Amino acid sequence: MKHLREYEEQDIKDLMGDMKTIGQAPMEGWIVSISSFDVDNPSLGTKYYAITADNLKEAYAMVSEDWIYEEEDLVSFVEDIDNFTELSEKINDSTDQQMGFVVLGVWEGLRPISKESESFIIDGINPFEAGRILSQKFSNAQSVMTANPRGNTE
Amino acid sequence: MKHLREFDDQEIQDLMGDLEKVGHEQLKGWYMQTTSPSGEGMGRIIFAHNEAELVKIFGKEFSSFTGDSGYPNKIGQAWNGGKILYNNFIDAFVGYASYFEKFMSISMIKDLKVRDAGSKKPGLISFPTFNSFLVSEQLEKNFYNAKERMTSGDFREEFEDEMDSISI
Repeated sequence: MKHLREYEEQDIKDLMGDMKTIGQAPMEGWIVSISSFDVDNPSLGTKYYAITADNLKEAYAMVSEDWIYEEEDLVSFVEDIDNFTELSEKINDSTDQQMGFVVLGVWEGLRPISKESESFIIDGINPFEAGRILSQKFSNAQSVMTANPRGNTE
Repeated sequence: MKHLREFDDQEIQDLMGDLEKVGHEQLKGWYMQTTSPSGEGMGRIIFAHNEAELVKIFGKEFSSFTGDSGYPNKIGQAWNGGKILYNNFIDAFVGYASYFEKFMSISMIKDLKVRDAGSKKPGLISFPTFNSFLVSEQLEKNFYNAKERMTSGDFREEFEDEMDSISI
């Protein structure tokens, strides 16, 4: 005989917290809608970062890797960053506003398909293709983005 | 007794052409996506029966452009857009906008089949493009064949060429 047991949100959060303490935390996911710019190479419109990482700092570091000099230490670069908008401002400043990006929307709580840290840039020029690829990266991409159409600003 | 008759695409196109000749114009659809110089993406869904309606809709939406000397104008049967002659207004507008760099990027999807055409009026719907799921929802809500038109052939290849990725 099978039993159905109901868990409260708090029980699940506690369980995930316990898993984190033994190093078995599930990967986390973020989608960041951006408009990138490069004074030498004009923008082609909206792009999405689809990020799978252990935590936010790792997510910031993966985004930074695209923009800052190789010699710069990623961990210290993102140390004082609290959100993606702040990160974009720091990156833009580090290039003297020659290239970088503006954050248009941030969605969190994505369930990654990948078990490893990764960051993809997806072109938003074709909404159907962008949606298809975002859904390949996160099982709940469509429900998260349609439930919160504008995303968070940070 | 009922008969089932198969029509090929060309026959249907001919029939629609005949209907238009006798004054029964169908509502047609376009989707235009642009990126402004500041990087903002904008999607525009356009409905019109004919070129005259399109010219009016664009004139209203892009009223700041219409005073430009290069804005599309008709020369005989052709449309002049950005120093090149086109056989329709839409192509001339894209040519004009590209030539004079009115946007950072512009793409136009034509031949979209309008859903519930009887209840729609000629006009334009615009929205930002930073949430691809909302954009595709709008396109599917308004056109029967938007997904088909935008996920096959050249448009898809062009998109896949633009893809970039990193992983650690």
